[in-house]
Amino acid sequence: MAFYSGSLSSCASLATLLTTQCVANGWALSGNWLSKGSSYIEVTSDTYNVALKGALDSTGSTSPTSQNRTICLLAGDWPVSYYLFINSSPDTVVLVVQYGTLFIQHLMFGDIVKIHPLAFTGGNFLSGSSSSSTAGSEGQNPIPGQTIPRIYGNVLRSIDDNTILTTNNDPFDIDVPQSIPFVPGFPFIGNYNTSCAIFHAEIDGDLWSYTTNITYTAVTNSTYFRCPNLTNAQTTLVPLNLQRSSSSGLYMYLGYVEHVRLVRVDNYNIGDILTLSPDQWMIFPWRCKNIAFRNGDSTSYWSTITLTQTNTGTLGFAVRYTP
Amino acid sequence: MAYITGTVTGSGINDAASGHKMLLAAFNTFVTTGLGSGQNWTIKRNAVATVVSTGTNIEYIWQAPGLSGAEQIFMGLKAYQDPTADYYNLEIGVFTGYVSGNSFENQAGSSPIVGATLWNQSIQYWFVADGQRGIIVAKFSDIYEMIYIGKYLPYATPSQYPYPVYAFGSLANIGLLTRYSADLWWSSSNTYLGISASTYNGSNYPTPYGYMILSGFKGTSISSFLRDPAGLWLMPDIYPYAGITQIRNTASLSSSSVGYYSLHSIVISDKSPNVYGEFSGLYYITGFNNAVENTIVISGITYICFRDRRLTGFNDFIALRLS
Repeated sequence: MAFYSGSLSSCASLATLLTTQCVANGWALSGNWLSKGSSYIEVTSDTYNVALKGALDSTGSTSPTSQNRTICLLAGDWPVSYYLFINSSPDTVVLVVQYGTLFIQHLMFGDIVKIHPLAFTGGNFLSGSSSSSTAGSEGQNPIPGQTIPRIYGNVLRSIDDNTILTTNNDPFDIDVPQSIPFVPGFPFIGNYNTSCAIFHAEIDGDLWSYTTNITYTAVTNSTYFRCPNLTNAQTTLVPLNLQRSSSSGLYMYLGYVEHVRLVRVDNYNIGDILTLSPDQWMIFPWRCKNIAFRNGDSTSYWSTITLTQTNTGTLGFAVRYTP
Repeated sequence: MAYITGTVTGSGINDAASGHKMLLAAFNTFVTTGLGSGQNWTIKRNAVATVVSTGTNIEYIWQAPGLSGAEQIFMGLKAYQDPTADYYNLEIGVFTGYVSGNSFENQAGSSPIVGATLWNQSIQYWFVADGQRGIIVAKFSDIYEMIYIGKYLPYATPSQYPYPVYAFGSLANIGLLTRYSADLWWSSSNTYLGISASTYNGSNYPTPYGYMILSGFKGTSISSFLRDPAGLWLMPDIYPYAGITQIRNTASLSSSSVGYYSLHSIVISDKSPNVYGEFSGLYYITGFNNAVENTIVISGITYICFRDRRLTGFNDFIALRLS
């Protein structure tokens, strides 16, 4: 396990950091393609994006993903602080970027722990705070007519009836499907019914999942939404247990992400360390903490951007950390 | 943890060899002699009381040493019956202390007394116990009853939460005088509607009110109680059973494979913030294409599937760790 942190001033520098340190920790590099285990990841950059793409071989020629997932940064965001975590068994790489003091974006890729090695073909995934149809674009704009590719109004809604949630029991989605992996977008605004994670599971004719059919299990969702505890002010490190929907309406439990946990950040700030000996975990909000809107802002996403409309409430995550 | 399975041969009449009393005696032998050095429970009460018209009740109250060997965990079971109504059941209680002069139902810090249906004939059993908790599964007729007494595994440190105990069966205190054949117990009060009440014969509640008899492992029930850090006895939610998500195996629609199953943690929480922890040795497994008493082996440890009494739905199954 390795950890790197520092400050950089361009997307190209971030991409170089990512590939260089992955190679230093056992990943192979062929052109822009990193590979290790069952993960094959292309890392590219342009003025605004550091982009990830997946495939099923080390040259990217076999079944590449049709979409990218990116960190998207604008001119005023530089320089940024970065936190890079490279964990193994299974391989999981997490790049966290902090900018504008309060804001976070992530790139993440690797393998989940499957319920059984033969349960299904796949189990590798990639995730990024923004989605971009091409690495050369300014990132997929979440709101038609807007020019700044940031998330708006993360209203958490029930995936079953689209009601706005205050406490949550089952799969949820957000108005704009960015920042939180394995959370599908609310389909109300048309083509944005995507997840910021892309998951490889060859089940029922699927290859890559970009959208709503890979979600957190009910245990993960309910635990995430019922923390932190009033009794001791502590939160729970919630495993990212993943399930896949099927045409029968039933869900398949697939496994979990080993080195990342969901955390409510009510009582934590960016970079705080939580120690559960022998493990240490570094904590981040998914995009921007706002204690006033714990589950995200319910203000209309059509409104002018404000801090409260670009926040992810107290929804956050923790990455296994080895100083 | 220790484990044993067997069958007690009940007399079929209301005497000392009635099935429910034989089961209680076998469990007492197991937890007082079969758990290994430093883990066996101590008998605080082994009492016989004759009740006019219903025969002889037998009750045990134990003090368990905890996994540390230095704790004091109090819990008890009481066999009672009414041959004129053909019920032969157990009362279930967890306490904070033992008072020799007090009745079973009035011990110090007692949980609400809950119950489990049994009968007076032969009963097959599975016992799992250690120094801090005991689990009984009793099979008779087409019923599988489950009893849990003692500590669960809290998401908190001992200093934050020193006595995390749980008691569940299938009968609410107000429904103790119930025969095993019943799927509902009845009350003239609708006090418990909204807790575990069931609609009966359509959309209107009948009078008297009918309540589903469900195993306490599903929670949200007046047969299932947790002692919180403040010393209050709560009826928590238990996920995934409290959710609406239905889980299946991973078999592909296009594949002839049988699919893979996995265990999932069972998490105890409030409806509002507060996530308490998990049962020790119990896990969720789907009933999809599954059958009671099927086994699953993970890392050399065997888990056996049981169900909620006689129910066979997808979310009616539970796996017990046999070790």
